[in-house]
Amino acid sequence: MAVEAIIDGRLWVNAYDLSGYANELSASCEADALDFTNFGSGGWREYRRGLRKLDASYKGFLDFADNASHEALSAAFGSSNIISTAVDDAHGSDAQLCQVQGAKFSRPFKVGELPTFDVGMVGNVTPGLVDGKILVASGTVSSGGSGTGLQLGAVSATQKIYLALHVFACSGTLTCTLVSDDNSGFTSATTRATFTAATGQTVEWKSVAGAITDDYWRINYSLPSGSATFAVTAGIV
Amino acid sequence: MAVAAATEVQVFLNSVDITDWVREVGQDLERDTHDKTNMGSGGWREFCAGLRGGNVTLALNWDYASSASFITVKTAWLTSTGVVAMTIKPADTTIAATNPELQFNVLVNKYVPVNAKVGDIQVPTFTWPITGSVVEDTTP
Repeated sequence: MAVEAIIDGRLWVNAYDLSGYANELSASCEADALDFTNFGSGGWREYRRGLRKLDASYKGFLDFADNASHEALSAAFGSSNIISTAVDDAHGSDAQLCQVQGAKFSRPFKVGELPTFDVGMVGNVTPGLVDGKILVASGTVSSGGSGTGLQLGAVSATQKIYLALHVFACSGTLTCTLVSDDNSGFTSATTRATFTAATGQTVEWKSVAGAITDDYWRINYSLPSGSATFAVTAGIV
Repeated sequence: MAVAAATEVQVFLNSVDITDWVREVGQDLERDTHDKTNMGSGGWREFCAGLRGGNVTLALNWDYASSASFITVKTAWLTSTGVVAMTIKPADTTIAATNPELQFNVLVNKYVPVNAKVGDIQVPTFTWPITGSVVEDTTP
C-alpha cells in the first residue's frame, strides 16, 4: 500500500460496525522516557524507555437509532472493549486490533449542526495494540464456508496470533474456526482455535501461542441456518 | 551552500533511509542554564551552562508497504530498548562542512499505528527525545 488518502476506513467497536459514522481514527502507543543521565553521559541527557501505554481515539457522527453509533459508544464508555480499525475495507488490508477501556465520551450538541462523538480509549490488556490485517472483511453469509486465506506468517515460540471476531448480526448459529497451513491451498490445514458459537451480536478476542510454523491462515465458519454479518481481524506479536 | 529551500533533506532512522516519506524533520537542542547570580554580578544575572539535550520532530507520510515508513517506525518501536540511531543531512550529497550530517540516537517512545481522517492521507507527527550526544559530522 503506498501513500494513499483514507476513504474507506473501518471502525468495528465490539459488535457494532461504526464505519458509516466515523470520520477520524487514531491509535497511539507511547512510552515513558526515564532520565538516565549520569556522569558518564558526556554532558548530554540520556534516556531509557519506561512503561508503555496505548491511547485510541475515534470521532464521527452520532445516530440515536437502534443499533447505531450512540448505542454502541454509550455502552463502550466505562467498559472494556474489543476494537478493530482498518484503513481499507478489504481482505488483507492493514488493520489494528486492541482491547481498550472506555475513558472519554464527548457528545456535543450545537444548534443546526450534526451531533458528533469524540471517544477516547486506553489500552487495558497486554499486548496493547496488535498490528495486523483484515482476515475476514465485513460481509453477510447465509451458509457455512471458508474465508480467503492470508499469508500472515509463522508464529515464533515467543509470539501469539491474536484475533478479534466481530459479529454485527446473526439470526442462526455461527461458529468460526481458525485454521492454518503451510500452503495457500490449505491442503493439510490444522485447526488452531474455535470461537464461541454466536447466536446474535457478539464480539470475542482469541489468542494462540506459538511456535507454529504454518504461515497461511483463514477462518472456516459453519452456519446451518439463518444469516450472519461478521468480520475478523488478526495479527501476530 | 547559500540559503536554500529544504527540498532534499536526507533522513535515516535505524539505518533505514526514510527520506521518501519525510514531510518535516527538525532537531531542537537546549542547554540547561543555572543561575549563578551573586553579589558580584553588578546587578546582572549570570548563568552557567548545564546539560545538553533535545528532541527530534518528524512528520511522515504514512505508508504500509514493505520497507516503508510504517514498518520502519514500528521496527524501531519494537527494539528491546527503543533507542535507535538517526541521521539528518541538509542535502542528499556528500557530507561536507557545508553539508553536515547530524548523528545521534533517539528514544522512539511514540508510535502511531493509525491516524486517519476521511479523505486525507495519514501524516503522523512524532517528537522523540534525543539520548546521548549529537555529532555534526563534516568529514566525508
